Amino acid sequence: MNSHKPSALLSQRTEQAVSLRFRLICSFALLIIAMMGMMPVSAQGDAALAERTSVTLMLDFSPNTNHTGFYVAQANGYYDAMNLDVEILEPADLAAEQAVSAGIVEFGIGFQEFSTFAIVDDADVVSIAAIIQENTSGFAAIAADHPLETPADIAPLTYGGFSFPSLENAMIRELLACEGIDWDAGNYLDVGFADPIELMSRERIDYAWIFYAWQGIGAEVRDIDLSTLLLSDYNDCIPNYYTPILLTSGEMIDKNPDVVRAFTHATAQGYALAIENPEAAANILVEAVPQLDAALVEESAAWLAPRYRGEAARWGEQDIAVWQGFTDFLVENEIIEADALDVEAVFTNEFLPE
Amino acid sequence: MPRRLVLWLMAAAVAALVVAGGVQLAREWSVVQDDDLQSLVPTPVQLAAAWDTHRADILGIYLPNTLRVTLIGLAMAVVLGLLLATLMAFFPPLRWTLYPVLIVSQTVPTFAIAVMLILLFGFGDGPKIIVVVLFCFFAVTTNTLDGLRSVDQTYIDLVRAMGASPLAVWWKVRLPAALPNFFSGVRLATTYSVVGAVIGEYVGSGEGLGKFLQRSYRSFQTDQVFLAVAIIAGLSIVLVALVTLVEMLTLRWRYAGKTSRFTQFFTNLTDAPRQTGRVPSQTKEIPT
Repeated sequence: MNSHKPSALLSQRTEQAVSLRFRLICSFALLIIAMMGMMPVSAQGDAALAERTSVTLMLDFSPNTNHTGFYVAQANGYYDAMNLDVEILEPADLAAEQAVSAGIVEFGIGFQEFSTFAIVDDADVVSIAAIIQENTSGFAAIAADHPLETPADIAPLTYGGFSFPSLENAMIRELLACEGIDWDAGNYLDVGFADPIELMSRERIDYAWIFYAWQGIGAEVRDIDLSTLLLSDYNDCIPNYYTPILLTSGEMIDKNPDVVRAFTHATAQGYALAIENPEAAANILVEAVPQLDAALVEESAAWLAPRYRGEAARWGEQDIAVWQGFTDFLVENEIIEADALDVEAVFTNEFLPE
Repeated sequence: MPRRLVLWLMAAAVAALVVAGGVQLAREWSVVQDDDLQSLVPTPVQLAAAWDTHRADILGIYLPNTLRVTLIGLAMAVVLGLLLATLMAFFPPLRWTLYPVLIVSQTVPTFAIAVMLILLFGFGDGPKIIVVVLFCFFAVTTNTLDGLRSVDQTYIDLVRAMGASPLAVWWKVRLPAALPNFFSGVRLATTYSVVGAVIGEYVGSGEGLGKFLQRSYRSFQTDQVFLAVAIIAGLSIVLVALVTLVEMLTLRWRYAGKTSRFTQFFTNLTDAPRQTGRVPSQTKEIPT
């Protein structure tokens, strides 16, 4: 693929009647470039590490389709080709931000909002890739009980929250404010780790904030008809933010930038497959984690495939406008203090493949 | 035989509970009959199907991993518990100072110390074993301590008068007298140990029943969740039964009654040993 451009370059050079020796050097270089192009790890070849290195990735949640790219990179040997040994850990009592910042793990998966809170609390984490471009979360209710057509429909309902009322209420308040509804705080029920879909279908709560790709499709697979307001449809009201993101520490970036680059490049390859061939990627994930519901994984993978990269130029790309926009939102809602976050320092695109 | 009476009373109690539970279930059923209860609690057929699908992984990976952590942690807890109880029985100042600390150790939520555990022990079995020990040692310590302190002073005075050294007093009087309490503690500890290993996995990582449970729950696989719960429960029962067996073999003098071994075993599973200061026959055999 790459060989077209250099050959055009070469014909230009011939027109300029350069010396024979120069032509020879050029064609030799071309040959090497062409050979590199035929190798499987073409552009990433230079990112491979000289020494075998072991790193650990800590997930944000039990394995799900947000993580497909990592499992693909693991199973298809993309990490191996980079000379990386990757161990994937599932957290429970330990947040990935905590683990990354403490240097217990090299990489972690977080969310823009919670990583922001962690950084404001002096955690040493830097976002090195946006795993999914658009926010795939939304407010959902059982369609038969509470059909949600506009955000206004949620105003009188009972919300089942996950112990973060300041953020959750701010989201609902803002969403309703855009509809011209003055809403301060509704009926908030903290349901902790209980499955909100199950609670909704038993009418203990009316609606919840869910990740559509996993919980929403999980409900569909179980034949529960949800009515969902996806936040990505209300970006002019609540600014888009990256959830989930790939994290490492500032210390890793300073001391082992090569490892960070190799890991991110291989991961990008994994997500490339998840984007191009969701079915194959889903199979890899189910094979790696056999407890998962294969039907859910397959449907979720298909739904996410166009959303990993979205409209961005490449997978993982982060836009400062997104970081700034959501930070402003948090400041306006008094969830964090103004200037608490240096937006330019919390993320970087420099480790993504070209 | 009062023991037989107790057994009958227990059977009656169980029957009463079954009836009460049945009535309650019927009521609940009428309340939620519109709901699809099957998705909440799987049927035995679904459990069997889940078992069929995951049997190889459970028997090959998850169960052995959890069992290993459980047994290592339990063994450490028993040794630690016995050691602490002995020290505290011998040195009252230690008892006064250490006891509050031990209570505090039982109140700390595991997630609060998760980072510390992982920094200290890494992601291997270490943090999980520590959680099991934390869950289990307290029952052994308190029960054994109670046993060591409840010995009838006259027996101690007697062997002392016979010229026994403090060590001999401990070994020949105090420890045998404390053994029934010690086993009560071990049995309690064993009950906590499996769930300790499961919760231990939530601290770090690992490929045990806890991970199986968590992944299943978060993938909305209720049948797998209950399969894991059933295995955890079964494992606990088997381990407690084993401890009871060891207890019966060790404390043969306590079980030299007329009832059959079989009845004793099951009575003993459910019935706490009698907390008496009665000195075991063994001490009567002290040579003069």
